Amino acid sequence: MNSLVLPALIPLLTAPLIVLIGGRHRAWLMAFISLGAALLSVVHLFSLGDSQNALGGWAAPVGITYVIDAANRPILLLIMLAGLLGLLCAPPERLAWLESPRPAIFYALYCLCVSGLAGIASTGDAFNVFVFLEISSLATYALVAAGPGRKALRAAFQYLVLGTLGGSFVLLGVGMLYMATGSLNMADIAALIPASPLPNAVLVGGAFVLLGFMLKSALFPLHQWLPGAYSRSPNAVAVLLAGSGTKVSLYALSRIMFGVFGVSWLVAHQVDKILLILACAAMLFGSLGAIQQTRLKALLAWSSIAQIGYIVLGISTLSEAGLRAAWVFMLFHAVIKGGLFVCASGLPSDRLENLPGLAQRDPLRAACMTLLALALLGVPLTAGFVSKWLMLQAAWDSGALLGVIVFAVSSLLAVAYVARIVLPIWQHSDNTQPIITPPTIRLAMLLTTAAALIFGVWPGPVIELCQRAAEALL
Amino acid sequence: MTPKSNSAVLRVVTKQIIPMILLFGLYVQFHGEYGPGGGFQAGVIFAAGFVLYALVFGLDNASRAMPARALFKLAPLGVLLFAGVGVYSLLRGYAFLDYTAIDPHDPVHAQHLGILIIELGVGLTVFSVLLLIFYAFAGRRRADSLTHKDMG
Repeated sequence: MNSLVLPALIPLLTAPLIVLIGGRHRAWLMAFISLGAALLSVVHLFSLGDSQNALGGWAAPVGITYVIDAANRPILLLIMLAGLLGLLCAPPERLAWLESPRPAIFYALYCLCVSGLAGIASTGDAFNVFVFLEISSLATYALVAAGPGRKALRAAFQYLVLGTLGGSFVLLGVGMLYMATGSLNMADIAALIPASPLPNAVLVGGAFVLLGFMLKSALFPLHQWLPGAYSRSPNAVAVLLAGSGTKVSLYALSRIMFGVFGVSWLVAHQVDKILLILACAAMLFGSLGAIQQTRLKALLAWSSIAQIGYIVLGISTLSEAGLRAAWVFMLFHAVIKGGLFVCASGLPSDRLENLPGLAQRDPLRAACMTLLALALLGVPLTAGFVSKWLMLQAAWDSGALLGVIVFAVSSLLAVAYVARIVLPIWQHSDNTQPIITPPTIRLAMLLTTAAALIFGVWPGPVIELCQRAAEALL
Repeated sequence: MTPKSNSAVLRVVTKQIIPMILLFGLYVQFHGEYGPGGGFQAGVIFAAGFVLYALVFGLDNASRAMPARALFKLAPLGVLLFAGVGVYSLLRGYAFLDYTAIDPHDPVHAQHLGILIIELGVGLTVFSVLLLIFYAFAGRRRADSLTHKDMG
């Protein structure tokens, strides 16, 4: 059972090794091998079944435990796949604006970020969640700042301020919960909450923790940091963040909601209604924001804000079907949005007005981008359709009529912004100079597009995986 | 950065205080499992000694005594030392960071040894990162050339 620490440990160990050894190509290779090894360890966890591991031999509730169950195994898989996908888009020659030794440090930070995300997903200790949240966040701030152009610094600073606020909220909340129950182990806190002598401290602590994770997962109206962080950072970071960053925060949010507080507490304090309203606002304003963007990556980032709304809509139903839909949505949206950010990487210009002619200049990229954009919209036979259909069903069954209506409106708005990507690509343009795409990026584009199509036709295994995740959470 | 003051009193007193600061840092480091202290505090105290030296004798002298290049190697080494203990215990079939693996016949001794080693890792990393931050801010105009030259 000691192998439970490996997904977080392998990248954590690689980061200092990369800094010590240095060199841009070696660093990239080491990061890639490390994340590949971490992926293998996650695959091993799938064969292991539900298990716990007490770090340092100190049993819970005194020590820190790692808990692996059906709910976080898919998330861990997602983190490693998104990490590898991001690395495929960032071979050292794509980071030309970074002087030596910064590329090596970039890959070290990348590994640290993945390690932090994997730690959040695998720990069963509330304080340990905060520690790993800080590891991944601090690494992310620096990674965003490594983007090309001065605006990356502004985006990184904005994310730093808001992200620190979110982290502080989580810490404050965990502190309050510790005051109310005297424990930091999630399962232990859950058992102690009903008998806590300080129910108000539980309430305030819960509010802080949930608010902190809402900020980290960019739920409207706490989304201000996301467009800059996604669109100004290096493409690899955008792929990693879009693929797993906010998803892990959403996982932590649901884990705290269901694993610590439980459904009856959430209903008593109307958390489900608050989440439903925020989700509706996110779906609406995210899509409206995406329509107004003039840059491709900013458009994709705003669309992510709407998609986070969809996922939270599933969580807000507090039902098994809703959670299953939320998990399916997280996995498929990671594939689709990650793939779109892959397609956006290496374009000579990020502006939408320069998209016309792309079909002549880089046919493969144009095809992948079109298919992925249609999947984002939820066209049948794509993964996006499966996730949206499950989500709509879950919202309908739970009686959240407001959610269903806003869902439909937001999907209609999505047609508008997807059209702004897809239509210009196939327009004729005088600029026919071919775009040179490195083979690693081609591979990443093909893989994500294939996944978005295959899972659209054959979603069974993923849905079953997510069904078990929902059962484990509730 | 040039020395801010040529005062003989300041320089003599500083020279006498610095060894005591460093010695106290080592005491806090290696006595941490009995008394108040530990790797983090020791790292801060140890770095404070060098910061004081840089304030009185200038950044150039300080970075000759403790080059940024060395600090860039020490910081990851500290992390590796910490994580290395964990990996060693994993490889010996114990839980991550279970110090018993270091000396299974005498678990109490193993706990002592384990905490000393990982706190040394913490101290190394905290010391070098704090000093690197100080160097980066104190020599801000040259920060780019500093990192470039010293790591490559």
